[in-house]
Amino acid sequence: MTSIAETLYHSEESEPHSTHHHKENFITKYIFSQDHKMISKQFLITGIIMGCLGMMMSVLFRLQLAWPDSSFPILETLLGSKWAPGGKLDPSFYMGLVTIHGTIMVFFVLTAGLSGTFSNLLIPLQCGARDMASPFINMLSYWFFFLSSVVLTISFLIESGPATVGWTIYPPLSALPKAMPGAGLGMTLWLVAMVFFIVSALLGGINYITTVLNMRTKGMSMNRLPLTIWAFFFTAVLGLLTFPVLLGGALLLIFDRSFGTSFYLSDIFLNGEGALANSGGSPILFQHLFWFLGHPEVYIIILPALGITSEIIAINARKPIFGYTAMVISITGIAFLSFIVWGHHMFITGMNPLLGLVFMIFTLIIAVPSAVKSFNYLATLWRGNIHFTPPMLFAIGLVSFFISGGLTGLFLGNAAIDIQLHDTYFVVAHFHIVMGCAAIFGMMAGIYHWFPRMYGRMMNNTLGYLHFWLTFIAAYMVFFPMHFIGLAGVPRRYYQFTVLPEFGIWNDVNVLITVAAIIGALAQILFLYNFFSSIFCGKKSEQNPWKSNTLEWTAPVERIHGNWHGEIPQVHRWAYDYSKPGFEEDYVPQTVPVSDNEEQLAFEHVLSVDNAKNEDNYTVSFSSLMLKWLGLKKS
Amino acid sequence: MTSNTQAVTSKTWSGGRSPFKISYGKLMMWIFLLSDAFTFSSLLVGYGAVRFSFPSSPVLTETQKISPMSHIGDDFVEKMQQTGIFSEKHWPSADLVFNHFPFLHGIHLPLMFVSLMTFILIFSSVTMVLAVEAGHRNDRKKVEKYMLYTILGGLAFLGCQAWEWTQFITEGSTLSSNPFGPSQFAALFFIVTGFHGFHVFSGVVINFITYLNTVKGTYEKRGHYEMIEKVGLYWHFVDLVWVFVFTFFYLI
Amino acid sequence: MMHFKIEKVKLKILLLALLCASSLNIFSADIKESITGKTVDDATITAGKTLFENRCMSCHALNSKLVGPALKDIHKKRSYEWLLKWTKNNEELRKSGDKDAIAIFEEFKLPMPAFNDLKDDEISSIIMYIENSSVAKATTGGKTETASTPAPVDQGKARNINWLIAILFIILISIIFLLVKITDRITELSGKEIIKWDNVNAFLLIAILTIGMAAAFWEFFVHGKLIMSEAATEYGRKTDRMFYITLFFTGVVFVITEILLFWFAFKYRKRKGTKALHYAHNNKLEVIWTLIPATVLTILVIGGLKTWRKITNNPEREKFNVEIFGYQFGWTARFPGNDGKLGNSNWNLISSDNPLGVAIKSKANKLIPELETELADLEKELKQLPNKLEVLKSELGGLTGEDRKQKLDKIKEIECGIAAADLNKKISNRKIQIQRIKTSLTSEKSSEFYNQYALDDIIVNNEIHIPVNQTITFKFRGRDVIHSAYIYHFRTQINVVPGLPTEMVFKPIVTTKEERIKQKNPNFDYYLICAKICGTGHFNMKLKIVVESEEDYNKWIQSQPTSFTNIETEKNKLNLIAYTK
Repeated sequence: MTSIAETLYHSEESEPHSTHHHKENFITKYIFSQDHKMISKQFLITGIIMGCLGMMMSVLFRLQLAWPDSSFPILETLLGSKWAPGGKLDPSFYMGLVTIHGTIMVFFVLTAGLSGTFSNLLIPLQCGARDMASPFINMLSYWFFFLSSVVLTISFLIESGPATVGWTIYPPLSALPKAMPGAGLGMTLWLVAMVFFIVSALLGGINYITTVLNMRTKGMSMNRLPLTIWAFFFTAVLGLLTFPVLLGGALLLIFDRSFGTSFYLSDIFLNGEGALANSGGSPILFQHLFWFLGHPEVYIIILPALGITSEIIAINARKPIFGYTAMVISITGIAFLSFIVWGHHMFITGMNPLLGLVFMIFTLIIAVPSAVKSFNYLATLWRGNIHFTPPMLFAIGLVSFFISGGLTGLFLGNAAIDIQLHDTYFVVAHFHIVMGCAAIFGMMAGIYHWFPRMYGRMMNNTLGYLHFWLTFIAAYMVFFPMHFIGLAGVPRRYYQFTVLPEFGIWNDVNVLITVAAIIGALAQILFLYNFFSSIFCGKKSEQNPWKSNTLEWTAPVERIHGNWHGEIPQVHRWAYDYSKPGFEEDYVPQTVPVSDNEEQLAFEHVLSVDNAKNEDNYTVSFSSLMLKWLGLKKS
Repeated sequence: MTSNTQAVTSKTWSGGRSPFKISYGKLMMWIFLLSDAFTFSSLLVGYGAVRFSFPSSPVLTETQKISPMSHIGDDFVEKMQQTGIFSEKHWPSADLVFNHFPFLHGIHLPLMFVSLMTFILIFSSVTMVLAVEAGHRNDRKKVEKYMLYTILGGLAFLGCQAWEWTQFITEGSTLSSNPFGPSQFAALFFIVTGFHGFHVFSGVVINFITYLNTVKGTYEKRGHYEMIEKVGLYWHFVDLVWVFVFTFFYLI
Repeated sequence: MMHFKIEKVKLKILLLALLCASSLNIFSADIKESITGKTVDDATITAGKTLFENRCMSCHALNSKLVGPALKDIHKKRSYEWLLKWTKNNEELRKSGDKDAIAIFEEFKLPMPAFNDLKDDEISSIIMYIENSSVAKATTGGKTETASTPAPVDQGKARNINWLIAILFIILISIIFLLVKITDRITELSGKEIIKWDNVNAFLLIAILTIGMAAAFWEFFVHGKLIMSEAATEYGRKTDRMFYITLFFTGVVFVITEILLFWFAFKYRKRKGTKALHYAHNNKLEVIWTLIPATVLTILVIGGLKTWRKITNNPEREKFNVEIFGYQFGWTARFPGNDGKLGNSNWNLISSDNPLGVAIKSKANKLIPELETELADLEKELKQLPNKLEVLKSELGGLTGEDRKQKLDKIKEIECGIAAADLNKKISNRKIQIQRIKTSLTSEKSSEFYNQYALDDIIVNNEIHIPVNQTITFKFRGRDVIHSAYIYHFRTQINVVPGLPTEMVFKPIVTTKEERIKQKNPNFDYYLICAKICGTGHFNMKLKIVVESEEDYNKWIQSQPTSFTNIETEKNKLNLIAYTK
């Protein structure tokens, strides 16, 4: 490596933009911005708008489920007589609502809106970089996401209707445009939107990983990173490796739909079309390719939320997060294991029972790191000094939902029990609690917490408290009873529960769920008002309103390109020195150097790379830690 | 709190430097290639699943065996269909399907042409390596020369692939049916080699842009030829994928 | 809100009434005469109702549009002769140019299956039932039929109530915002907190914990009671046991961790002078709370593995086979008949005459000329597309609104080539299908494929019987898209995939009669329903399964007619043409 090249990567890291002072106009500042903080806001606002759309759809189809015999004239006014004839939702449009609701929530809100926002905002700031590794690619990543949102919204408005085949788009239903209204153009647009979305996710992921690896500031070793960054890092790795597989699967589906191939189609006689010529394909192939993304996707959703929670609980309890290394190892374990459990979505496809065995084992193993994380959260709260701020309440709510939802996963991961629960409301309850409640609460906690960082103002606390309590109670009221409906054998994606008389006993429960859902949806108005009005009229925030240790609070409140005036701060300690004895304040930012007579926890001491005895301290530290754990080495 | 400002030593993972000792641009290229590898893997896994759901083609009997270089008539495909060697029921044997060579019409040269294509692509990878090496030495003229060879190699490969496709299509293969066996055989051929060919094409394009920049002197002004290395990485990846495609599709 | 409450109460009363009276299916005919011209009597209406529920309900309701249009007052819209023709074969009716038929197809896009097995008087009875139900005084009726619930409340009133609710809501939200603004302002001005949120939050944490836990337990007992039926199969009991064991462990963890969570949040809340303990890790603790979940999970995994193996590796599979064919939107069963073996089948042989595509040589022979006629028709249609375009364009003048739009759509379809592409696709599919059938008839394996096992197969719709205490293997085939066969009380489920035959092996141990006594519900039945999104009618696919003693089962199966024998005895009369390649 020549010396020029060496100076190359040193200089690139610290000052990619220092000498440029481009003139920014409205377009380059707000629209085609390359600044990661602006891009994070773009992701957030697009995510919030899509979230509102998705939530409205869920209220619409809940109306149908609670009051299947009533007609709502307002529906016919809003949706027209094709989709809501006589004020009652058309059955295939109902499925369209369910499908688009699922797609929007899983991808557009919880993937792009959650990791897109916070990875973009926090990775450069918490690692101590001026911006992402490639701001241009970062900008592209947002605009592909925007394009994808537009295409999906359009698909909802076209005449033949949105995709109606479920967000999991299984062929042959999704591969045969004549099998169902909405399997035609609506489905094609869905696929186009997803291709753009995958491109956006990949471009973003590449940036996140590179920035975390290459562009941490001096002293920010991997084990001094806040847990948020660890979480975002592994989320990006997961996305990088699994979205391409969905791309491949979707590509083959596009060919099956429009070009007469038979990858997923075989032995089909369609009413009205007759016997199709396709032969030799397998619909199960699609399921494997889809769930190879689909399962890591849900970890892509929950890991950032868990990372955010770690940070917020530590800050608001004024205590270090308990078991930092265990948390990192858990994140790594979850990320690794998530690649080998996808088959638990396919237990009842008739696949080889041996495969079922393997997937069941790994699925139940993945519960262990999740449990470890939950216990670590509890231990962080223990003997803390807990401030009830809105982000803290949402973080506590996340832990509650994560425990509830995670535990029901144990039933579903067990192949024998899954037989009777697959595709019933039990599954719906499970994934809504972990994704629709826990992950959303993580997102909310993050928004409340980093709002001052994004906009220089504080959100209103009172509205925040109201928002939390109403949403928390409503969310449990919506999803807890669903478990029982599922245990009674009611399948999901049912337009009405009339096929069997015994399903009628759940009509009252459906009404309860819908009323709670409407209240929960309405409670979000508090949040929306709070969010948008605080941007312009919120109380101006101080430099470090939450008294946090991490680097993003050392950057000036007014947004500057390049994040810090002058030099980027150097880091001397880990991110969790809260309530440390020997200090006046109950927090010690990472930039504060370690004094000679400062007592370091033995654990930290081992982690510190200032212990310059050996060449490559990273290896020494880790193996030393392992030996300590196994009891083979005293500290 | 401000007692000793300890000098933070710059160890591999302690921040302020790249732990892999490469620039962010190169790191991003590696990571992108990793994701692209997974896209190709998904297609190849799909190929494997479809391919192995069919029994393999039957072994040729003594009388049916065709020696290489022997003349096969214009009715070769029909004959193979009649004797059941090509049938919808089993996956055809690649060496009976891909046995053409330009300018040698009617001669049975199993897998010869695709071997030529592989050789061309590997050769272009070699010239790419030479270009990168020349870039390390800041030898602009050599970089230009080898980049040009690489581009020509890429174009030659694309031309060959186009010829292969044309042969295949004129014999009656489409995405939904082909005379050699199950419909998925041709469909996968077109999709997998097409996806790969698209990558080769985009590689040729970025190679060409890099070549133009070299000629213009952009990299000379910059003081380093790292861009050559980055596009080199992409080109090697494309070559490596071809090796896998070639192995899985033609040999297994 | 009142409107909905009224609906709820009415529903409850109905349910009660039904439980008492529905087994008698009492109908007092509300109509005096019928368009069918036949005499109105209760027996016909009852028969019509049964037929309606078995054959029509998966796609039609009386009062609302489902997969197909609502059928209320259909007798006022269509004539009797038209209804007969339409029900038996709507495609033929459409082809003959009937405008009404074509309009219906344009609206719904999916064609109705041809019910050419229904006789005239069966169709009449259905019409009579519909006529009867269309009269507004329906008081009893199938629980599962939405038509018998009261007609929706007066639209105008509903609209007013909706507006009222919306206004009330806006007022409520405004009050909340106003209150928040006021309290914030007062806090700001006076420096003192009006609402001490710290205390409120602390209190709510504990309150919600208590109420939440109590509510969770309440639900377990109340809703739990609604679902605690014992499984009706042998392996179902095993999976239930697994379920309860898992429930025990998860329940314990749930209670402990949720209590700790809220309790810690409450106990260690910030108060004057409190300080946190700077305690960052404890490796021993980490090991403990890694090992304990790992152990519990190992127990669950081992239990699950054992049960899963038993279910998927049943040595008695295929002792008693029944094929169940899943399609949009229903299930048809095929019993193997006296020889105990099911005949082969292939999707290319499916026709309205042979809906399961069973391999019967004469049926295949009959199918070929039918397909060839279809092919010729399609080719003719393709050739005549330009003429059709001209005709459509000429008809455009003078049309307005919806009609005009539909005509324009059809014109556009032809001009853009979509209609031609569709026809070409259909033509090529037919050609390939014909070729495949011909090949199957002339290949060496032909007699192996068209073997005699199929001849005594028995096809049954709507309701099947199986013997108790016998290991049953349901073999599933799918016709069009993925369905999932789900029988809740048997705790069985398996996907039904076109191209991939699957099976479900289980042993029922409780007969329907016994289950009725257990559930205290004389109308209870086992049902197989669909649990994988399969199209518009996904929510309405069911097959009744009656489990009975072996003698009762034998009586039933012997009363079922074989489905193909009649054809075969006439095989000598059919003109079997040998097809060359």
